[in-house]
Amino acid sequence: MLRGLNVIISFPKGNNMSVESTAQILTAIQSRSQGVKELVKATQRRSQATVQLVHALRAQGLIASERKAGGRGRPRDVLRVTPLGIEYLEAYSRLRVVPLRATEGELRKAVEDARYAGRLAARGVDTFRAFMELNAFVRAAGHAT
Amino acid sequence: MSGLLDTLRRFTGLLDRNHVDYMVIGGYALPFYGRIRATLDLDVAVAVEDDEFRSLCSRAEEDGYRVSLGSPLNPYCIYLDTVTGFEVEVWRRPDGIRWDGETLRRRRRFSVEGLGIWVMSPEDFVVTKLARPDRSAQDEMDVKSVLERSGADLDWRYLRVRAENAQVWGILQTINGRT
Repeated sequence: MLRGLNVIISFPKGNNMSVESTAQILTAIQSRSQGVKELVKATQRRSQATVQLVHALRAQGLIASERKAGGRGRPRDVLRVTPLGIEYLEAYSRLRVVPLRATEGELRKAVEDARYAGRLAARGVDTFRAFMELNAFVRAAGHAT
Repeated sequence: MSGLLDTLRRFTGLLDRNHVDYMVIGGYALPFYGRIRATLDLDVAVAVEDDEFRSLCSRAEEDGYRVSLGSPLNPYCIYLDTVTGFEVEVWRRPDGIRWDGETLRRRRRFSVEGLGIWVMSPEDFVVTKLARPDRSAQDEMDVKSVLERSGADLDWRYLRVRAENAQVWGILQTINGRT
Protein backbone atom coordinates (compact mmCIF):
# COMPACT_ATOMS: atom_id res chain seq x y z
CA MET A 1 0.00 0.00 0.00
CA LEU A 2 1.24 3.47 -0.74
CA ARG A 3 0.50 6.19 1.78
CA GLY A 4 -0.52 9.59 0.57
CA LEU A 5 -3.08 8.40 -1.91
CA ASN A 6 -6.77 8.68 -1.34
CA VAL A 7 -7.24 5.09 -2.42
CA ILE A 8 -6.00 1.91 -0.87
CA ILE A 9 -4.16 -0.08 -3.45
CA SER A 10 -4.30 -3.77 -2.83
CA PHE A 11 -4.00 -6.80 -5.01
CA PRO A 12 -5.84 -10.07 -5.23
CA LYS A 13 -4.72 -12.80 -2.86
CA GLY A 14 -1.73 -14.68 -4.16
CA ASN A 15 -0.50 -11.74 -6.23
CA ASN A 16 2.93 -10.71 -4.98
CA MET A 17 2.95 -7.43 -6.81
CA SER A 18 5.02 -4.89 -4.98
CA VAL A 19 4.86 -1.13 -4.93
CA GLU A 20 8.10 -1.13 -6.91
CA SER A 21 6.70 -3.52 -9.55
CA THR A 22 3.60 -1.37 -9.88
CA ALA A 23 5.70 1.74 -10.32
CA GLN A 24 7.94 0.01 -12.84
CA ILE A 25 5.01 -1.09 -14.99
CA LEU A 26 3.29 2.29 -14.76
CA THR A 27 6.50 4.10 -15.68
CA ALA A 28 7.03 1.84 -18.68
CA ILE A 29 3.47 2.41 -19.91
CA GLN A 30 3.65 6.14 -19.24
CA SER A 31 6.87 6.56 -21.18
CA ARG A 32 5.30 5.02 -24.28
CA SER A 33 1.79 3.78 -24.89
CA GLN A 34 2.21 0.14 -25.70
CA GLY A 35 0.59 -3.24 -25.72
CA VAL A 36 1.34 -6.10 -23.36
CA LYS A 37 3.86 -7.67 -25.74
CA GLU A 38 5.96 -4.51 -25.84
CA LEU A 39 5.57 -4.14 -22.10
CA VAL A 40 7.06 -7.59 -21.51
CA LYS A 41 10.05 -6.55 -23.59
CA ALA A 42 10.43 -3.17 -21.90
CA THR A 43 10.26 -4.51 -18.34
CA GLN A 44 12.04 -7.81 -19.03
CA ARG A 45 9.44 -9.74 -17.07
CA ARG A 46 7.84 -13.08 -17.84
CA SER A 47 4.88 -12.67 -20.17
CA GLN A 48 2.41 -14.58 -17.99
CA ALA A 49 3.39 -12.58 -14.92
CA THR A 50 3.10 -9.35 -16.88
CA VAL A 51 -0.37 -10.25 -18.10
CA GLN A 52 -1.42 -10.90 -14.50
CA LEU A 53 0.08 -7.60 -13.38
CA VAL A 54 -1.70 -5.75 -16.15
CA HIS A 55 -5.01 -7.33 -15.12
CA ALA A 56 -4.40 -6.35 -11.50
CA LEU A 57 -3.51 -2.76 -12.41
CA ARG A 58 -6.52 -2.47 -14.65
CA ALA A 59 -8.75 -3.78 -11.87
CA GLN A 60 -7.31 -1.13 -9.58
CA GLY A 61 -8.03 1.59 -12.09
CA LEU A 62 -4.37 2.52 -12.48
CA ILE A 63 -4.26 1.69 -16.17
CA ALA A 64 -6.78 1.39 -18.95
CA SER A 65 -6.60 -0.03 -22.44
CA GLU A 66 -7.78 1.53 -25.66
CA ARG A 67 -8.37 -0.17 -28.96
CA LYS A 68 -6.35 1.51 -31.67
CA ALA A 69 -6.50 0.84 -35.34
CA GLY A 70 -3.11 0.37 -36.96
CA GLY A 71 -2.18 0.69 -40.59
CA ARG A 72 -2.87 -2.91 -41.46
CA GLY A 73 -4.39 -5.85 -39.64
CA ARG A 74 -6.62 -5.99 -36.61
CA PRO A 75 -6.89 -3.05 -34.18
CA ARG A 76 -4.68 -3.59 -31.13
CA ASP A 77 -5.12 -2.85 -27.43
CA VAL A 78 -2.80 -0.14 -26.20
CA LEU A 79 -2.30 0.50 -22.51
CA ARG A 80 -2.32 3.95 -20.93
CA VAL A 81 -1.88 5.22 -17.38
CA THR A 82 -5.05 6.68 -15.86
CA PRO A 83 -5.08 9.89 -13.77
CA LEU A 84 -5.17 7.65 -10.68
CA GLY A 85 -2.09 5.83 -11.96
CA ILE A 86 -0.32 9.15 -12.45
CA GLU A 87 -1.24 10.10 -8.89
CA TYR A 88 0.24 6.78 -7.74
CA LEU A 89 3.49 7.46 -9.58
CA GLU A 90 3.76 10.97 -8.16
CA ALA A 91 3.26 9.66 -4.61
CA TYR A 92 5.81 6.92 -5.29
CA SER A 93 8.41 9.46 -6.48
CA ARG A 94 7.85 11.65 -3.41
CA LEU A 95 8.34 8.70 -1.07
CA ARG A 96 11.23 7.16 -2.94
CA VAL A 97 13.48 10.21 -2.82
CA VAL A 98 14.93 9.45 0.58
CA PRO A 99 18.51 10.58 0.81
CA LEU A 100 21.03 8.31 2.40
CA ARG A 101 22.34 9.80 5.66
CA ALA A 102 25.51 7.73 5.90
CA THR A 103 28.52 8.53 3.76
CA GLU A 104 30.36 5.93 1.70
CA GLY A 105 33.13 6.01 4.29
CA GLU A 106 30.71 5.36 7.14
CA LEU A 107 29.15 2.43 5.31
CA ARG A 108 32.62 1.03 4.60
CA LYS A 109 33.43 1.34 8.30
CA ALA A 110 30.22 -0.54 9.15
CA VAL A 111 31.24 -3.33 6.77
CA GLU A 112 34.69 -3.56 8.39
CA ASP A 113 33.14 -3.64 11.87
CA ALA A 114 30.71 -6.36 10.80
CA ARG A 115 33.49 -8.44 9.32
CA TYR A 116 35.47 -8.11 12.53
CA ALA A 117 32.42 -9.18 14.57
CA GLY A 118 31.98 -12.12 12.18
CA ARG A 119 35.63 -13.14 12.66
CA LEU A 120 35.20 -12.93 16.43
CA ALA A 121 32.10 -15.14 16.28
CA ALA A 122 33.93 -17.62 14.05
CA ARG A 123 36.69 -17.83 16.68
CA GLY A 124 34.12 -18.69 19.31
CA VAL A 125 33.92 -15.24 20.92
CA ASP A 126 30.49 -14.39 22.34
CA THR A 127 29.75 -11.15 20.52
CA PHE A 128 27.05 -10.09 22.97
CA ARG A 129 29.48 -10.53 25.82
CA ALA A 130 32.05 -8.49 23.88
CA PHE A 131 29.37 -5.85 23.45
CA MET A 132 28.66 -5.78 27.20
CA GLU A 133 32.38 -5.53 27.94
CA LEU A 134 32.69 -2.69 25.46
CA ASN A 135 29.78 -0.93 27.14
CA ALA A 136 31.41 -1.43 30.55
CA PHE A 137 34.70 -0.09 29.21
CA VAL A 138 33.06 2.99 27.72
CA ARG A 139 31.20 3.65 30.97
CA ALA A 140 34.40 3.22 32.99
CA ALA A 141 36.23 5.57 30.63
CA GLY A 142 33.46 8.10 31.16
CA HIS A 143 34.06 7.99 34.91
CA ALA A 144 37.87 7.95 34.68
CA THR A 145 39.67 10.98 35.98
CA MET B 1 27.32 -9.30 36.52
CA SER B 2 27.17 -5.91 34.83
CA GLY B 3 24.43 -3.51 35.86
CA LEU B 4 23.12 -3.53 32.31
CA LEU B 5 22.85 -7.29 32.13
CA ASP B 6 21.25 -7.31 35.56
CA THR B 7 18.74 -4.74 34.28
CA LEU B 8 17.98 -6.97 31.32
CA ARG B 9 17.62 -10.01 33.59
CA ARG B 10 15.26 -8.21 35.96
CA PHE B 11 13.17 -6.74 33.17
CA THR B 12 12.79 -9.93 31.13
CA GLY B 13 11.96 -11.68 34.41
CA LEU B 14 9.16 -9.17 34.98
CA LEU B 15 7.81 -9.83 31.48
CA ASP B 16 8.07 -13.60 31.83
CA ARG B 17 6.25 -13.56 35.17
CA ASN B 18 3.46 -11.55 33.56
CA HIS B 19 3.35 -13.75 30.44
CA VAL B 20 4.18 -10.85 28.15
CA ASP B 21 5.74 -11.69 24.77
CA TYR B 22 8.69 -9.46 24.10
CA MET B 23 11.81 -9.07 22.04
CA VAL B 24 14.98 -7.08 22.53
CA ILE B 25 15.36 -4.55 19.71
CA GLY B 26 17.83 -1.80 18.79
CA GLY B 27 21.45 -1.67 19.85
CA TYR B 28 21.25 -4.73 22.12
CA ALA B 29 20.06 -6.88 19.22
CA LEU B 30 22.85 -5.64 16.96
CA PRO B 31 25.80 -7.71 18.30
CA PHE B 32 23.92 -10.90 17.45
CA TYR B 33 23.61 -9.99 13.76
CA GLY B 34 25.95 -7.14 12.87
CA ARG B 35 28.71 -5.01 14.31
CA ILE B 36 29.53 -4.44 17.95
CA ARG B 37 29.17 -0.86 19.13
CA ALA B 38 28.63 0.60 22.55
CA THR B 39 25.24 1.90 23.61
CA LEU B 40 23.36 2.40 26.82
CA ASP B 41 19.96 2.37 25.13
CA LEU B 42 18.25 -0.84 26.16
CA ASP B 43 15.11 -1.16 23.99
CA VAL B 44 12.52 -3.87 24.43
CA ALA B 45 9.33 -4.29 22.38
CA VAL B 46 6.35 -5.81 24.18
CA ALA B 47 3.27 -7.38 22.60
CA VAL B 48 0.47 -6.05 24.76
CA GLU B 49 -2.82 -4.25 24.25
CA ASP B 50 -3.55 -0.86 25.84
CA ASP B 51 -5.16 -2.18 29.02
CA GLU B 52 -2.50 -4.86 29.43
CA PHE B 53 0.17 -2.21 29.04
CA ARG B 54 -1.33 -0.10 31.80
CA SER B 55 -1.50 -3.16 34.00
CA LEU B 56 2.13 -4.03 33.17
CA CYS B 57 3.17 -0.51 34.16
CA SER B 58 1.41 -0.93 37.53
CA ARG B 59 3.05 -4.28 38.19
CA ALA B 60 6.43 -2.89 37.20
CA GLU B 61 6.03 -0.06 39.69
CA GLU B 62 5.32 -2.61 42.40
CA ASP B 63 8.56 -4.30 41.34
CA GLY B 64 10.74 -1.23 41.81
CA TYR B 65 10.43 0.53 38.45
CA ARG B 66 9.49 4.13 37.87
CA VAL B 67 7.54 4.42 34.62
CA SER B 68 7.37 7.57 32.53
CA LEU B 69 5.99 8.27 29.08
CA GLY B 70 8.49 8.96 26.31
CA SER B 71 8.08 11.15 23.28
CA PRO B 72 4.52 11.36 21.96
CA LEU B 73 5.97 10.84 18.46
CA ASN B 74 7.69 7.61 19.47
CA PRO B 75 5.26 5.50 21.43
CA TYR B 76 7.48 4.10 24.14
CA CYS B 77 7.69 4.28 27.91
CA ILE B 78 10.82 4.57 29.96
CA TYR B 79 11.08 2.12 32.82
CA LEU B 80 13.66 3.26 35.32
CA ASP B 81 14.93 0.29 37.30
CA THR B 82 15.49 1.83 40.71
CA VAL B 83 17.48 -1.22 41.82
CA THR B 84 20.17 -0.99 39.11
CA GLY B 85 19.72 2.67 38.15
CA PHE B 86 19.48 1.84 34.44
CA GLU B 87 16.58 2.65 32.15
CA VAL B 88 14.71 0.43 29.71
CA GLU B 89 12.83 1.88 26.75
CA VAL B 90 9.69 -0.18 26.35
CA TRP B 91 8.11 -0.06 22.91
CA ARG B 92 4.63 -1.14 21.99
CA ARG B 93 4.91 -0.19 18.35
CA PRO B 94 8.48 -0.36 17.09
CA ASP B 95 8.90 1.81 14.00
CA GLY B 96 7.87 0.07 10.82
CA ILE B 97 7.07 -3.21 12.53
CA ARG B 98 3.74 -4.92 12.32
CA TRP B 99 3.46 -6.83 15.57
CA ASP B 100 1.90 -10.08 14.54
CA GLY B 101 2.34 -13.82 14.91
CA GLU B 102 5.01 -13.80 12.22
CA THR B 103 7.11 -11.21 14.04
CA LEU B 104 6.95 -13.27 17.21
CA ARG B 105 7.58 -16.53 15.40
CA ARG B 106 10.71 -15.12 13.81
CA ARG B 107 12.29 -13.63 16.92
CA ARG B 108 15.29 -15.59 18.09
CA ARG B 109 16.25 -16.98 21.45
CA PHE B 110 19.78 -16.35 22.67
CA SER B 111 21.48 -17.29 25.89
CA VAL B 112 23.72 -14.72 27.47
CA GLU B 113 25.63 -15.79 30.56
CA GLY B 114 22.81 -18.10 31.57
CA LEU B 115 20.12 -15.57 30.72
CA GLY B 116 17.77 -16.61 27.90
CA ILE B 117 16.42 -13.64 25.97
CA TRP B 118 14.20 -13.16 22.92
CA VAL B 119 15.74 -10.97 20.25
CA MET B 120 14.03 -9.43 17.24
CA SER B 121 14.77 -11.25 13.97
CA PRO B 122 17.50 -9.70 11.81
CA GLU B 123 14.96 -8.98 9.08
CA ASP B 124 12.68 -7.02 11.41
CA PHE B 125 15.74 -5.37 12.92
CA VAL B 126 16.69 -4.01 9.49
CA VAL B 127 13.18 -2.74 8.83
CA THR B 128 12.73 -1.03 12.17
CA LYS B 129 16.11 0.68 11.87
CA LEU B 130 15.29 2.08 8.44
CA ALA B 131 11.71 3.03 9.31
CA ARG B 132 12.70 5.32 12.17
CA PRO B 133 11.31 8.80 11.54
CA ASP B 134 14.61 10.19 12.81
CA ARG B 135 16.80 7.66 10.98
CA SER B 136 20.47 8.59 11.32
CA ALA B 137 23.72 7.65 9.61
CA GLN B 138 24.34 5.31 12.55
CA ASP B 139 21.10 3.43 11.85
CA GLU B 140 22.14 2.97 8.25
CA MET B 141 25.56 1.78 9.36
CA ASP B 142 23.89 -0.73 11.69
CA VAL B 143 21.80 -2.01 8.78
CA LYS B 144 24.83 -2.23 6.54
CA SER B 145 26.66 -4.25 9.18
CA VAL B 146 23.75 -6.70 9.46
CA LEU B 147 23.63 -7.09 5.69
CA GLU B 148 27.36 -7.73 5.68
CA ARG B 149 27.48 -10.20 8.56
CA SER B 150 24.11 -11.93 8.27
CA GLY B 151 23.11 -11.19 4.68
CA ALA B 152 23.46 -14.79 3.53
CA ASP B 153 21.21 -16.02 6.34
CA LEU B 154 18.46 -13.46 5.87
CA ASP B 155 15.06 -14.47 4.58
CA TRP B 156 15.05 -11.93 1.78
CA ARG B 157 11.52 -12.74 0.72
CA TYR B 158 10.17 -11.90 4.16
CA LEU B 159 12.49 -8.91 4.44
CA ARG B 160 11.25 -7.54 1.14
CA VAL B 161 7.59 -7.87 2.12
CA ARG B 162 8.18 -6.18 5.46
CA ALA B 163 10.40 -3.49 3.98
CA GLU B 164 7.84 -2.71 1.29
CA ASN B 165 5.08 -2.48 3.88
CA ALA B 166 7.21 -0.02 5.84
CA GLN B 167 8.17 1.75 2.59
CA VAL B 168 11.88 1.30 3.15
CA TRP B 169 12.65 -1.26 0.44
CA GLY B 170 14.13 1.44 -1.81
CA ILE B 171 16.55 2.74 0.82
CA LEU B 172 17.44 -0.83 1.79
CA GLN B 173 18.37 -1.62 -1.80
CA THR B 174 20.47 1.53 -1.93
CA ILE B 175 22.37 0.62 1.25
CA ASN B 176 22.81 -2.96 0.09
CA GLY B 177 24.24 -1.81 -3.20
CA ARG B 178 26.80 0.60 -1.71
CA THR B 179 30.56 -0.07 -1.24
